[in-house]
Amino acid sequence: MDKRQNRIRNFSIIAHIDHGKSTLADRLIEETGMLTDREMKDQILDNMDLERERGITIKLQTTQLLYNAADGVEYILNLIDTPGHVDFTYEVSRSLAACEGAVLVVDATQGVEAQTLANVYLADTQGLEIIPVLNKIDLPSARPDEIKHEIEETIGIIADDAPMISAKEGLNIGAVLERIVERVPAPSGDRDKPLKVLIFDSFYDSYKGAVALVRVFDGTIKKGDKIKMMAANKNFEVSEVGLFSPMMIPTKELSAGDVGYVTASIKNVKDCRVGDTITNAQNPTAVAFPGYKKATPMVYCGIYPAEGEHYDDIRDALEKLQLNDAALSFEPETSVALGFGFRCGFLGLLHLEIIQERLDREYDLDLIATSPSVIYRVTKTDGSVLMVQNPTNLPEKTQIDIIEEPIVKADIIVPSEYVGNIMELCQYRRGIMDHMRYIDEKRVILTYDMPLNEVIYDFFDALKSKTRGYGSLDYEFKEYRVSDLVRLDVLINKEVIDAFSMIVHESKAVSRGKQVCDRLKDAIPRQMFLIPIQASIGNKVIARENIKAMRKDVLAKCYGGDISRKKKLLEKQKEGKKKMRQFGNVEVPQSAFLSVLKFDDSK
Amino acid sequence: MRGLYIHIPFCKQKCHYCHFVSKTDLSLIDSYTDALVEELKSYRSYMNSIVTLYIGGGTPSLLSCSQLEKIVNQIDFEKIEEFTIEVNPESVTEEKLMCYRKLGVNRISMGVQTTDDKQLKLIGRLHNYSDVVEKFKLIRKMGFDNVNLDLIYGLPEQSEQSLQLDIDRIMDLSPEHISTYSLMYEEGTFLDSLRIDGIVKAATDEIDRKFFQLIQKQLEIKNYKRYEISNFSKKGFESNHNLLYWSAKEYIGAGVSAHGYLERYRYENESDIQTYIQRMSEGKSAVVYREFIDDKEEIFEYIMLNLRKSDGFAISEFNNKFNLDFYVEYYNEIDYLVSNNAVSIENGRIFLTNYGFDVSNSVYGKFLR
Repeated sequence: MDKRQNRIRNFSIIAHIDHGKSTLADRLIEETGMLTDREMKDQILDNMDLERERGITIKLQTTQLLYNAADGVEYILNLIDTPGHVDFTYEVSRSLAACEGAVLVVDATQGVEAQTLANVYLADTQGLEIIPVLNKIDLPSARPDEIKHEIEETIGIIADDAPMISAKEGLNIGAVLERIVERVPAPSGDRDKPLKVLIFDSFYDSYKGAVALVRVFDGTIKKGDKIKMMAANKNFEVSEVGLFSPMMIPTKELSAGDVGYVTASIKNVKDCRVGDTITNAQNPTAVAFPGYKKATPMVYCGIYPAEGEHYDDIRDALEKLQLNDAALSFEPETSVALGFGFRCGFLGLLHLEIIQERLDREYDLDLIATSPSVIYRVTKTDGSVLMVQNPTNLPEKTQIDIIEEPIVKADIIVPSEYVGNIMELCQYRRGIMDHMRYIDEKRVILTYDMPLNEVIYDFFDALKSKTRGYGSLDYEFKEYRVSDLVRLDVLINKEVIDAFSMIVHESKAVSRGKQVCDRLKDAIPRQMFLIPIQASIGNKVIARENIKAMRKDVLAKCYGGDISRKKKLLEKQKEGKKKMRQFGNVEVPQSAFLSVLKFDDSK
Repeated sequence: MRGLYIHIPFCKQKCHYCHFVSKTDLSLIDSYTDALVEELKSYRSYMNSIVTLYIGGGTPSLLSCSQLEKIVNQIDFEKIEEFTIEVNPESVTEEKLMCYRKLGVNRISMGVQTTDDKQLKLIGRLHNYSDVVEKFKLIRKMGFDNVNLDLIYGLPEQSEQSLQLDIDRIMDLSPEHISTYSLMYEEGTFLDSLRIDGIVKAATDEIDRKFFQLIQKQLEIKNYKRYEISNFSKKGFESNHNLLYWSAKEYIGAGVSAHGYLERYRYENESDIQTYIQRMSEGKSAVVYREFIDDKEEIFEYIMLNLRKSDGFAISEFNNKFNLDFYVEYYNEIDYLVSNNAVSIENGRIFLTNYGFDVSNSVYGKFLR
């Protein structure tokens, strides 16, 4: 093993959302002096606007740090940032596969949370060295000794010597760097062996084509090399290799142990799949990486062009996003109400919202998203089984023998004073408690079996709201269970709008139907005639609201001949209407689709 | 055939609902008058086509006779059939009315708004009901036989009885023309800030329409015809000047923030008085915004403006003017609007129904391409 390789440390930072992961990443960059102050924006690694706004990390980000350690040696630290939200567990596992170690950040005021556990479990499975760090030590409410004890008790790793830091104040950051150098093993692998490179992420650059974020396990790779994507079975010529600082900086080569990027004029996004193995076309490695398990979407919804948008533009945008986001899946579908569009699969509701917002902001597309749905397993009376993720495809009631729905195991950690609230919430959401365990005298882990369709539908918002933000959630698929489910249809002006159809539990149908009618009544502007809004199961109407006919829409004065002003006003109204969908004679704004999904505090 | 509008942007006090350009610093009137004279000179070549003259504001009756005369002297009266001036009950005097007669004014428009003194005060008017009666009689005495009164309905806390009293009192005066506007809470006005602070409450759409219907019904009984969305008149007393606007004809706008439509350009003048005066003294144009009305815009404006009139427009005239087939162009829109009883087509003319007037913005919007 050459000397340079001995000086490499590949690590991730893992944490529950809001425990300060991104802030710590910023400090590490600052401490190692990789960026000038001017370049150092807050949370530099969260480089998507959307991420910065929401204060969460979605995409993996990578940067190389050069660190002069106490032993006098300069180490090359490759930091791979990870997302912190429950929806993105899959992305965490991908970045961990490129590392030998993980820094586990725990908030010294909050302690272990649901995703702390989930992330530690992932890191442990990959056999990583886990380095616990206590953050927010500067806050008066920090309880370092209790939290250390909690980490040892609930996670089972020794934490009594964990660095106590404040990422925000820049306190004790050096200790974290020293600990990484000491504890994280240098990468194994041999630069003289045939090339073996793991693609752990990728994104699309309009000039360079697909950019693969890679970890080199064996061999070396440089510009001009003929490479082969082993799973895709395609050959390319390397046009550039380099590292992230976090900006892309071309280098001569990447060799065993390195983390960086590879470009090869890859135009088709499908040829640069995350999890694939890159090898040398002339001197290939014998065995490819097993590849990642394909991320399984849990939530589906239809995405359709709003008035005047092009189907093809949406396909292009989705393809580009998919390159960045392996968990996104989509296929064409048709809706009676909305025309041609795509059925897209997401990891969870946040993932869905993020994709929608990115399509809007980065691709400037006006879209309509239908009610989200999970995948139901339907056994028909003739014995055939089908998986239904679009409510419209649910067979006639008479043809259905049983419907099964996905159940998840949900771990919810809450301060003990909110246990009552949360038990009530879970019960309302048809959850069945498996067990309940005290982490300490103040905090409780509740483990529930919950129908996924109750979780995706604003459960997280409800949990946060009912625990003043202190509740945390992690869930994973458990099994399919038989359930009394029905399709709830929504009729606007007596026409079924398939885009609003949803599958709900029979016991919830009436209340859900009322709620949807009520929200649509407020979201759809009055028109020149009365519009009935109805919810029905089969032919039976179970809820109804009316949108009264418009009474007044008049701006009589022309301001001493100011006709331009009036025209502008009308044009503005017209602009607003572009964001509406026409169903028969009724104009429905996009916001109506979203309003149906939002969390209702009274429930 | 063109109209000429002249804006006089001065008021003793700004009404609380008003968002027109107006100033209470009356010391500028003289230099403003000079500036107007300069601007009117620049329209000399159009003067012989002017058929209607309208001096509005603001409060034109704040001008002295000599100031007004200076302005009017710039105008060629050869073809002018209608000359309107807006007056306020508190500032119009016998002397001024005499001057108006001398200068050729043949139509007076007086802002009454309401006859309830408490409400007048609330909306920032300086007159009271007895001033209205007194000045109306004076106007008549001075021989003006074509008078408009402005009425605003939907005032804060206005009751049906109070509106009824307004209608009765105005009917007693028996003007030839009545303009009636629903109170608008314009952004930036004092009244709107009162609304935002919750001190006054805007009338609901239901009340607003009910009030309008009350006015319409009683005016029609007294032989006033609604000839435009917010204007009623006795037969033969329609405002020619306003009809020019609504027939998409050309007009010159002069003065601060005035709007005009000439040679297919809609334009807007400088809205700051001092800047306007300065520009005029430097021989510059007052116009700060111009928009070319292309064929598409012209068609839309034709529909939007003509539909403000109760008799709408003749479809054959539209077809001839634009070399189009109205039915072919707009069959979807027509179908929708007719089936929802917003427009009617009779004897080859398309026009709004009463309901269509209530929701006229939505109707025009349908024709916007």
